[in-house]
Amino acid sequence: MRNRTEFQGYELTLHHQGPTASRSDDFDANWEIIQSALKQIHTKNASHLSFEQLYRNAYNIVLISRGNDLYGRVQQWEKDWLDTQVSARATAAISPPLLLAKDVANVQDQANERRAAGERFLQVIKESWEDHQLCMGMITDVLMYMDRVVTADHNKPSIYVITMALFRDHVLRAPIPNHPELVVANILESTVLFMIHLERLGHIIDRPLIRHCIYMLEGLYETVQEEASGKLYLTSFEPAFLEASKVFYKAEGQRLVETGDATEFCKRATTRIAEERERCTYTLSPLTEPKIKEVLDNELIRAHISEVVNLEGTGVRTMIDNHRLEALKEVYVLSSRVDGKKLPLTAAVQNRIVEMGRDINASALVTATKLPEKNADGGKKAADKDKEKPINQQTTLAIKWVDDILALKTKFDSIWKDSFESDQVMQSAITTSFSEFINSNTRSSEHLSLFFDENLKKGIKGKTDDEVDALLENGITLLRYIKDKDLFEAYYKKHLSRRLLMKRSVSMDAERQMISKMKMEVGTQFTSRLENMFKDMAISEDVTASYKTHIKKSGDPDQKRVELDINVLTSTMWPMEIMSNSRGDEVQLACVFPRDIERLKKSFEEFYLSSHSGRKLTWQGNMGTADIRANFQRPNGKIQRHELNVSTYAMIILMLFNDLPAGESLTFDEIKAQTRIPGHDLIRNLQSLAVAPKTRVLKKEPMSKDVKPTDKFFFNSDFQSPFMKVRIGVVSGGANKVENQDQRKGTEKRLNDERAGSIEAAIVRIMKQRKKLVHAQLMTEVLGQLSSRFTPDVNMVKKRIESLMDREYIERIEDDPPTYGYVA
Amino acid sequence: MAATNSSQSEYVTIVSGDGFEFVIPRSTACVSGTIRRMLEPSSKFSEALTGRCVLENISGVVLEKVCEYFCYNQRNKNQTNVPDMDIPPELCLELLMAADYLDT
Amino acid sequence: MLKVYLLALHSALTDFLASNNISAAQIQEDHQRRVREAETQEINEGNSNSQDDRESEENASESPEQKKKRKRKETATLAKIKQSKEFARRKSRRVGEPDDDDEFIARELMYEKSRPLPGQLEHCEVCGKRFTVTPYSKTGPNGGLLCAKCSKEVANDDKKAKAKKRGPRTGRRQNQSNLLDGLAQQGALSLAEMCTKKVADNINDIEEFGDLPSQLLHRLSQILSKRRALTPRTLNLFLRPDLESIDIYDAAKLEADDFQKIFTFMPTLRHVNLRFAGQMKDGVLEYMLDRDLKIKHLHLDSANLVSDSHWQRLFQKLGPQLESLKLSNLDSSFDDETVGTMSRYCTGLRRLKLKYCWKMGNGSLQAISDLTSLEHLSLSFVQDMDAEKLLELISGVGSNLRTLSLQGFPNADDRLLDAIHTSCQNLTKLRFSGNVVCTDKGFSSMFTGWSNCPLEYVDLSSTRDVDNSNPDGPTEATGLASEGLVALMNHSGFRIQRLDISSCRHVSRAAFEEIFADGKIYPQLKELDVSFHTIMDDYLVGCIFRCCPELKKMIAFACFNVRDAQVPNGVALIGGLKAQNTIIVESTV
Repeated sequence: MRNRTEFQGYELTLHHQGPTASRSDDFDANWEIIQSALKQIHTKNASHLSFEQLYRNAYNIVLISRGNDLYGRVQQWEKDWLDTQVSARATAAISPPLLLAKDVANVQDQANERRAAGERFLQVIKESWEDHQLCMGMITDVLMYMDRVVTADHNKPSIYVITMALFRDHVLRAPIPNHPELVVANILESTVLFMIHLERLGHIIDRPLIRHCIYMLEGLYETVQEEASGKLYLTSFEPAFLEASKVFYKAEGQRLVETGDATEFCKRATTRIAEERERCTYTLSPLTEPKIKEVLDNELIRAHISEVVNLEGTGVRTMIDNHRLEALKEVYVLSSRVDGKKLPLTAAVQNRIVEMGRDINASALVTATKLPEKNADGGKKAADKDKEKPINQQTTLAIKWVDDILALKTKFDSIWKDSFESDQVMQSAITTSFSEFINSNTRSSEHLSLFFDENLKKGIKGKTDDEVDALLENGITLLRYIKDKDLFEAYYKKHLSRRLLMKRSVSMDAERQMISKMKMEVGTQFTSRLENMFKDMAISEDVTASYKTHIKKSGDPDQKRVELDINVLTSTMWPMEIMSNSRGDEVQLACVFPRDIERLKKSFEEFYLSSHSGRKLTWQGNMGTADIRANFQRPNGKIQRHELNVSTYAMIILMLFNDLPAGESLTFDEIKAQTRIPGHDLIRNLQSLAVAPKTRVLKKEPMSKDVKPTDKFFFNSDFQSPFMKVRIGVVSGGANKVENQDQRKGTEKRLNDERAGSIEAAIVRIMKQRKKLVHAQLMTEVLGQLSSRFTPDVNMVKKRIESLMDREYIERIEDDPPTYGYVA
Repeated sequence: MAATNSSQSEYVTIVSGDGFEFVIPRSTACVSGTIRRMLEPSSKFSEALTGRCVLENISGVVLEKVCEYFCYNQRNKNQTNVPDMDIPPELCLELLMAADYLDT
Repeated sequence: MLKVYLLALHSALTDFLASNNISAAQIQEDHQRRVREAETQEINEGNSNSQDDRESEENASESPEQKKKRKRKETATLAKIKQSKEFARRKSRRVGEPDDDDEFIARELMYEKSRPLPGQLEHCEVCGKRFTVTPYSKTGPNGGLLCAKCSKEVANDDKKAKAKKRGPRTGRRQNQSNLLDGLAQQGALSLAEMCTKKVADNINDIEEFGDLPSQLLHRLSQILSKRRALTPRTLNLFLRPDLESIDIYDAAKLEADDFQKIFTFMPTLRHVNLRFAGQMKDGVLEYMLDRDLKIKHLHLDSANLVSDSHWQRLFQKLGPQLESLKLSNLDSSFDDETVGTMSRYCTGLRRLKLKYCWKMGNGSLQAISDLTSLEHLSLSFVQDMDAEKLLELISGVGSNLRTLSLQGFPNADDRLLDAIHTSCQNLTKLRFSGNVVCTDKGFSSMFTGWSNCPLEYVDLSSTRDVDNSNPDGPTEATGLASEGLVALMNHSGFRIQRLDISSCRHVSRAAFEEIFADGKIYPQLKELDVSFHTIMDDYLVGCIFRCCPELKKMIAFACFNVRDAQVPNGVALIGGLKAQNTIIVESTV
């Protein structure tokens, strides 16, 4: 079997001499044909060329091992072609306007001229490149056999790659006649940048043309290895573009800030960002998008955002005040591009919240702070007179305070949702600020509790379940901000107790709903005592009912029997000031009840203790009410009857006059001695019986608002009222109001006592579990355990530790670091 | 005989050096890298314009076998366990040359 | 029942029977006869159960006594046959067919035995000639024996039939074999490849290759070498005066003369690649030097009979023109002094590979350090080397290197990695394997902030701790582990094409998950070896496939949790516990 050439064994060397000689002829002949074809291809005359013939020529050359030479020849030929033809055409297209200094775009007529010249030039470059690409594609196809062998044997890049590099060196990097320092690529770069500058100034430019030139830069590389990072676009054009953009946006940013309009700034910045993104898609390369974004972020946003946010009259503060959600949103979007924490924005928002919060705090405190001053310089009389009104007003203010905060909260909620895209960082910033100003008002807990009190007594009347729910929910959101939850609990308990005992709640459902909401928010521990109060109320109802049946069964014949509704309260669960019999330092003896009542009391005690032995009942005269039927003997002999609803103390007082002959009087001291009602309560009750104009059942001498020990009181048989039933409230007793200074001190003291107890309990709990603990760690754990209720004062904790050591619950076992041990 | 408008035509003509003509589907012919480039419409060489490829240095006998291979290759596209095509030993050297030439 | 049984046999066993000279027609005839007999039997015995059809069919006219006796004899014969080797052989060949055919095979053998014995005379079934029966006589289509001539014809026909049928049956096996070679390509082989194989098949009928292009010659040489068919005769085919290169991958069968012939007939040789060149002796080398060849690339393997003095002569003569030198498996010569000579004369050397040259020691390392023109350096030492000498080498030649392959430096430490980090900027290929000292931190800091361009070929296999008493390795991982691998992929992931990290056993799962996380892409990675990474599982393999769109070959030996990974088309997953599953996936997709 044989294949073509004659060639066999040892004779081979002889045969061989001939072919080599002819082989160089072969090479030349084949090269001639290929060379002329190269020209035809470059002049777009390929249609009569036979691919097969050319391919075969190249193949033959490779077969005689001259492939590498062919490669070299083609390379050289292309180099010459690019030098003589393409490069000349490109440089010829460079007209004088293109050589002008780079930044003269602002002169209008020059700009137009330069632009026209630029488009012509870019067109030439684009065509040259596309021709070269197409032709080299064809040539590479024809020379494929050579390419395959030469690239494998000689480790050379494909002829296509090599000729692309030639285009780079001999066209783009061809020097420009008379301007030895410049090459074509420089002009290309400056021209494209000029066009982009025009577009930034609002002109319309030929985007596809530029895009095509960019394609070229993306298709050419610094090296024949064609590393992705070596694209000419990335190595030369892009840095220049970014630099130019930097300059442009630095100036633009400066200019925009100087106009002083934050909204305008944000609008422009947003538009610019969109423009640049579009530019990367349609005019330049998507590769640049992240980088130009960085430039914009740096030059336009990072450099100015803080200033913009704080611009006087247009900045974030104004936006918030005018509730300009769109503008705020733009600020937010811009900020979040450069800074995850959005510091300037959060700071501005926080400042504004705190400012607005302070205003609310201030307006709520206006009268409260005035009060003691008046007390100080005015006489006691004047002060007492004033007390009534300001205190009511304060309650209203407290409720207004809550309403204002809720309104503020609603405002910022909508800003957060609509402008800040429900951003987590913004939310926590807003929360912090609310918490800050709310807690800066020392009375916030009381105010909030009053708000609930007001609403549960009156506010929710006639509202649907959903509305009630929303209302309570609002209150709960505020509760979230309050740090000293125990203080709130104290007030809430106090107010709740009044509502319960005086049956002032509109809806027990709403009360329970409230409790369960608090439970969700603050925890079971927090609400358990409140729940017990409800339990006491329920049990008391049963007790009252069963007492009634008990009386019926025992068949008490007394027809004028006094009806009894009783509430038995567990002393630890209810507010201490209600339960305690002492006011201040003086020890208060139990008040003296009228005989009938005393009998009733005895009878109930008997009944109650029979089923609950071992308990102690203490009667809280200051809390109850009584319905009395009163007969007023008119001078004309007629008897006018009224049913009076009075406090228990008032009832005791009035009963005194039953035993008194008509026209006789009792002095204050006499009443006090006979009833042992605490002086303070007595004064208030006498005020409402003898001073309040509509409920003057008693007459006082001398007639004045104050009650003095020597004042005389008469039964007022001329009492007039249009109503059959008359309710005589106790002055400043029954309603829940803002506390005065004294009460406040009392509350604080009680609170501190309670806190001390909590802290000690926590310490003991922790130490019992850990047995041994370093001071610092103990502190952290204590703070951790209590934080849900209040923020304990560190000194207080230290004191409690010392106190526990004194009482030998714990002991100090080491000094450095201080360490405690649990004493079992 | 030269097909007009052949760049769209579904069939192409492959001609051996000694004048044998094989009319085969374009896609089948393009199994050969060389013929595929030859027929590449964008390059506009005469073969692309006429749809007729004359392969001067391949004989009819060999070209027939080459065409058989084109079909065999197409038939077995994306299949596993493809059985080898039967190649007469006396043709194998020439066929090897042709295969190399045609990048097949 | 019987009928069904035979029909099943008919369809399933025809091939087998044919290939064992059992005529289907004969069986058919037997069967029909038996059926007929059975029918008569049935008439005779009323509705006898078919259970003893088989026995009764043999000889219906026997008396019960005879029958019993015959049956006993037959059972004994059958039992004997079942013990025989032939039976076992036939049975094993029949794997995959119904199990109940022990009996059948045994019977088959028994029938076979009953045919005329070798040495007897018989008439050919086809041509009717009288001939002597031999063990090789074939059975004709009707069950009769055939003469030698007809036997051959039948055999030829059989062969063709067999060859055709074999295709699909061996496909699975072939497929698996291809997979192990990393071939998962679908569709037909290229015509050139097919022809090349055909040429190799018929190499002994070929007188010359003519002007076959050199790259085809190269490929042919590879195939012939692999088949161990490169003999002095076939060598002649490759000796073409017009070519500049000779590549013989297996020169083991060549004698000194043959080597000499190469240099005689190829005066323009520039590229010489001769492996397993055991008979390459001093004389041949001398002859080669005398021919004034312009050899630039010299690659000799196992040229053990060349003495040091002749190596030195070679370098003195060819050294200045050598661009590439690769020598391997030299154990009796090539000492430090020779390497010294080499480095003195081979000043233009760009590529140097010295592997398994037993005599090379520290002196060699020092000598190589002077070869500053080197761009590619591969060293595999047998002796233990000083770590310092290796550092000198890297700082001496590192800056130009594009390839660095270091094997057999088990004691090199992190200083080496540091030296590579500082000296090398142009590496695209890096191999450093079998080291037990360098730490993960060392690897990590080598790849971190490295001014070197991205690597394309990386082999850091078997860099790991080998303390058997501490299977988990030290807490500060030894060898390429999590940190190092992450750093490597950060540095080179974009360009890497081949990565071998087999037995780098301290790479954590988290590291793999990080490297092959969703969204990561290694666009060029074609080959990956993760053998002996026991944390590798189906999920991770899936992640790898997702991140490496160009992957063609993945080696995962001893990855016991790689069970049912879905292997994409065109990817060869080698190893893995249930390797067969991959084939099923392959063929169904």
